[in-house]
Amino acid sequence: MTESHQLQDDLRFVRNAVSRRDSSSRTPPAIYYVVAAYVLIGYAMIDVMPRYCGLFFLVGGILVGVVSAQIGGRAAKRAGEQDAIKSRSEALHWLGGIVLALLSTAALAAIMPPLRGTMGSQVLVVMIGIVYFLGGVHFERHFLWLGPVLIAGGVLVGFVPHYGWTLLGLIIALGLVVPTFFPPRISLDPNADSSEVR
Amino acid sequence: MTPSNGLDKLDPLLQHRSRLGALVLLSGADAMNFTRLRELLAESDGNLGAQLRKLEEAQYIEVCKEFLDRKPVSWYALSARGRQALKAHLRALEAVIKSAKV
Repeated sequence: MTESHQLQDDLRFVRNAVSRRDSSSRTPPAIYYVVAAYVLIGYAMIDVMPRYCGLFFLVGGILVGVVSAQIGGRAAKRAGEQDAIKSRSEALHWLGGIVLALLSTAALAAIMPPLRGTMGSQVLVVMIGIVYFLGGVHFERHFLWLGPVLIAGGVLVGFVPHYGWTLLGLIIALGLVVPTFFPPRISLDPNADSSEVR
Repeated sequence: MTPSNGLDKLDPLLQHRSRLGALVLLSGADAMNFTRLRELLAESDGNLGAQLRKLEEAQYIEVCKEFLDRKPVSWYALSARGRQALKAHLRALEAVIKSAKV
């Protein structure tokens, strides 16, 4: 083997190791289960206990954030990898995105009175759908379709006469939970071409 | 290829693919444990242990040992010296590839 072939071979080996790392760095399923429960309960409350759903989303949202950070930290240690930069960028995306969506909706509702009721919630869901979609672009692929589902749900929920929010919450919860049962396959062959690693 | 093509500037320690792979992986994280590196590099315990020891002796990586669920775990992190060496090696590799293309 010539030196240049040896170099090529070594670089392919390193590239495959990096690809394996990228494809095996996944959010722990437990975080999705916690968020799914939060969404399911919260959206159902919009239909059955609308007076308390705001409080639930606020307090529950903070709790979900704290619990998710703890689960993520423990899972990272178990997986054998500590990456503060990645953790910060994920926190910035999800926390920053949802807080901005919330503030934007509140600002719009302040100047557009029709948005002070259920329509405001619909706008918020559409914005969170965009945050989900961008989560798919940067982190986990299944958010690429869950984001548009959320956006469509936010638009269409107004046309469902009964329990529309509960139905939307159920769809989102399933969209969060079901992909955790189908993790991507990871090739462990060091010499495999990285295109084989999903 | 002749040494004038840049091969002489390659770091001899990083000309082993497992050592280069370990440094590249560690450059993308704060720390990784032995099991994770072994899984990603698909190496045997003995081989990876020997390669990591060489990197440690050259002070390219730092090792921290702790107990997780009562089991000893070695955490590896890239040192400032290791980061510098990796950058220089990658620059040299780039030069080699460029000269090979011409």
